[in-house]
Amino acid sequence: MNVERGKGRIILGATCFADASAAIRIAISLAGQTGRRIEAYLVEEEAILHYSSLPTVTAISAGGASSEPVTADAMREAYRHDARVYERALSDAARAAALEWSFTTERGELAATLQGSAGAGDFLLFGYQKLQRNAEGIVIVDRLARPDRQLHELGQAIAGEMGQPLYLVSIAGNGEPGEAGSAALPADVDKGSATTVIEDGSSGHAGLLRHLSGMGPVGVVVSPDLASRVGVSELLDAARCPLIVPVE
Amino acid sequence: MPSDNQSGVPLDAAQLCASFSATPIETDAAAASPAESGDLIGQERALDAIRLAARIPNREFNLFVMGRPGYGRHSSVFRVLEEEARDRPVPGDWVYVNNFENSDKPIALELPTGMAAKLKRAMEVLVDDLANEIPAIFESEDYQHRRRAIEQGFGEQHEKAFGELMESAREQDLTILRTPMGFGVAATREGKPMTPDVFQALPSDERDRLDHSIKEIQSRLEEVLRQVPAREKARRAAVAALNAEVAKTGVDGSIDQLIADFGHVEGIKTYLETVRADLVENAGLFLETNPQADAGAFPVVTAKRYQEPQFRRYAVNAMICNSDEQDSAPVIAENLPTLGNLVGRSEHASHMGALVTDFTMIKPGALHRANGGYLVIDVRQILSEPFAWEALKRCLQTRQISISSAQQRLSVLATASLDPDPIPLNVRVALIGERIFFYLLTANDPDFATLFKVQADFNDEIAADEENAALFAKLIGDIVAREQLRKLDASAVARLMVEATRLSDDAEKLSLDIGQLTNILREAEYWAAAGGKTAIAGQHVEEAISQAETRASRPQELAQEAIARETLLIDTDGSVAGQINALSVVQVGTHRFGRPSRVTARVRMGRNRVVDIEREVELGGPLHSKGVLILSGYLATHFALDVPMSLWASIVFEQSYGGVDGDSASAAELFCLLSALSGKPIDQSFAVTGSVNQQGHIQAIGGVNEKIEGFFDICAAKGLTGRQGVLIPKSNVKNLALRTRVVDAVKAGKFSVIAIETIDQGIEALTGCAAGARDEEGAYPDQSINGLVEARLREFAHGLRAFARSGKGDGAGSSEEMS
Repeated sequence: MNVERGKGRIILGATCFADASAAIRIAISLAGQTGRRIEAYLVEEEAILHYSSLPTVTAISAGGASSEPVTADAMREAYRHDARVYERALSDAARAAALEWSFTTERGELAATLQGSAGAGDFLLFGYQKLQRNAEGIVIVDRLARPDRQLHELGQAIAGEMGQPLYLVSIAGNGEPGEAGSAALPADVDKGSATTVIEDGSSGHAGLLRHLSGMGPVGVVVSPDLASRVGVSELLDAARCPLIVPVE
Repeated sequence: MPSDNQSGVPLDAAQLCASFSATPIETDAAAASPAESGDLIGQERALDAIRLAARIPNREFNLFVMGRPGYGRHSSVFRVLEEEARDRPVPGDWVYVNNFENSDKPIALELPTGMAAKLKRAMEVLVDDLANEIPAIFESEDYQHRRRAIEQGFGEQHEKAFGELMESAREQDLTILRTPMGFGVAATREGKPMTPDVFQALPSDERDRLDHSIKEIQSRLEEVLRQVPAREKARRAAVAALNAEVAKTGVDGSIDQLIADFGHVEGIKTYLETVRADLVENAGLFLETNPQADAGAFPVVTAKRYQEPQFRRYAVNAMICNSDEQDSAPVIAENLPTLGNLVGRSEHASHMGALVTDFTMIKPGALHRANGGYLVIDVRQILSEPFAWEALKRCLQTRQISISSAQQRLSVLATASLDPDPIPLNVRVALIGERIFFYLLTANDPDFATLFKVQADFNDEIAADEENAALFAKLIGDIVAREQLRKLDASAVARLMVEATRLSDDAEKLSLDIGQLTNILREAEYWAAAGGKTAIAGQHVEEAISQAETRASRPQELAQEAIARETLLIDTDGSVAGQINALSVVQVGTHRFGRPSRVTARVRMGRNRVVDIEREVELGGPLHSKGVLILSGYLATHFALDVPMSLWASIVFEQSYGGVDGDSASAAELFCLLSALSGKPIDQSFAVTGSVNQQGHIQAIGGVNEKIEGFFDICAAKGLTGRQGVLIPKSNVKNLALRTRVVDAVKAGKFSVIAIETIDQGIEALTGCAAGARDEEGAYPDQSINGLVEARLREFAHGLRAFARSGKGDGAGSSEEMS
């Protein structure tokens, strides 16, 4: 790949081990290709801790079963448990691939914590567990007007390593509704092996989130400015898969 | 001096060895009649038995060919069976194929002759074709499009449901949290989850509304999540159905072609239909590998994909491949009839430390190869192989070949094993072995007589008449042609015939020991070549025989040396009472030679007892003891019949430290006793062999040639006097086939061989005194041997009576004697 080696880190974060585990493979693959160090975070979200202290709240398992009422103590204990298994899983995978890594538990908000830890040249990797096993494809989300070559190379590298088809979603300008864009990608942008190219010059953020919500990909690579404008949590809720954001 | 008739008949030199007039054997002439070459002489009975066994349809008429090794049993059996096999049809082929329902029980299929190899190749081509076609089908745009449509359809259902749920939650100011304990639904303000303080500060109706909304979203979330597994299952089923449909389009054409080619054979169509179903179900096997990386010098399309492990399930294990060009049923010899070599075996391969096997590792045994024809086995070999004999019987009884291993029988190896379909068996088995095996098996194995109803008994010899002599010469010609030896002149043929009489121990019989005759001819060929001769002459045959004897004669020389150095005491001249030269035969390995032994006897008055010292010290065998008891009977019933037998005598083989058995010395022992009783010395120039019966008749013994030669060699070593000779039973004259050195000595009057029929003839020859016959009053002449013996025995009886009356002895014993 042409993604620059040795520079920057991979900042991996999730609010639970289930989400992190889905992203560890991507992190290991990406770090293996780029020689980057993995810095992993388990973020104890304030919102989740607040939620657990409410009376008579319940948690629903991935199989659709409601648990007994959740307590703050139980949630803290669950965080400690997830931290242990998260660190062990990362340790095993990184050691097998001879990669450098670190693990930290932080309290805060996921996007803010990761962005606060990142510097220029880092990759942010937000974990999100897929519920559907038939998820397919790596989606590159880019601006139609000002495509980012490095973003495309990063998407192609991940798709190639994971044996996934590549999809490309290009939206107009800054993604504001109604903003006009060109009808096609510029010729100098390599579409790579992208099998599906969605060029949407008119529907803005809402259209982007709608596209992502219907695709069910394995991972999404999104340009930093779009991530900033649309919002990481919105993108995660729409794509419902790991999200990779290069840091400028 | 007694008459010749009374003291036995000295034999002419011509009686000591058979003589033959023969014609030379030309190598070319022998080779010119290949059709007749190999025909055995004198074995018509055995050959008829072999033909019967080969032709009779009854399955239990298996054959046991018995006879001695070297008599042409194997070659005869093969020749006859191969002739008979030409009249039998070439059997069909057999294959093992995978049992797709139970891979531990491979399926056996019978195919027409020559079809196994074709089916095997066709299946290999099928796999190779599908290995190229199926990936292409699954990589096609059409398949990818349909597959993606399914994936997307199910994905969209899920994503739509989840997306709508998320949207609905957002509209109701709720969010779905992903926590370490699972999903949670929380109220939000300005897009962020509310803290407990803020939530509690809300108006109660607002809190109630949010609580109600949370419950609704939670309920819908549970429903969406519960649908995931069911939707996943449906998706897999839809993809599998698509795969099967797509794979079937690739598989059908190839399988239909195979059915067209092979489907007319019973069982094949069913098998190919199961292959079709399995290919469709497991089309993924053809997508698992990517051989491009390892294609090497050959393009992927030419790679032998059928050799890859995942495709072994479609292989055909051709157990028996006959050829269309064969013109006869098989005749198979199994020289190493182990259990596995006989009934086949399933081999194992090591995989990840475990031994695994499958139907392709089944190897055929001799029974598979011989099925529909004949199988020849050496009985000694099969009886010495564990489980092999039982397995052969079981197969013949059940008429099917079931593969089992010794490990399974012994339960010593816990590993994967197969239980293949048994293959129907139609074979005629010919066991070849010595007679003792036939008799032992008949006596000890109740199944044997049932399964092997035909016996082919090979003669050891034939009568040496004119007709057989000509056939025998032809047999020699066959050997010469087969061994590619130089031609034989008439003297060589004649000398071989003489040796054949020697091998048969009978001057009137010709041995059929082809092996031994062949060895002599091979060595004679060597000596002829060494002498630069173009033909093998009698002298070369003689040299071969002599050299072979010399090579084996070290023990004989040691024995003769011990006598020459008087370590072993044997007199060959002079006269001694109560002492005689008896003769015995020693066999060391394959070499037999005669050796004289000094027998002595001592007599005195006593209770009726002849002490056999050999028996007393347990060096005498039962036959020797029997001989001694017979001669005791002779004494007791021929002499002094009016008085109790009052003889105590001892007989011993002097300097005998090994065992003594057989009754061939019983005549010598009786002569020795008569000499001791009569006091007449025995001429030590003679040696005696022969057994005796209670009437005093001399009976035939074995090894007469070796015995005569053994004593002759001792006499020759000590110096031939012209008086020396051997007394033999007259009934053994027909067995004489003496070596030239003995015949020449007899011709020159330096040695004699005397044939005797009775004890009287023998004792006269040995003592030079008349034996004597009873006169009208029943008395022997006073100075005859018999008269002296009788007088001595009466003297013992009277002495014993006088002793008893004197009261010095054992009263009870004496009274019994007297009574």
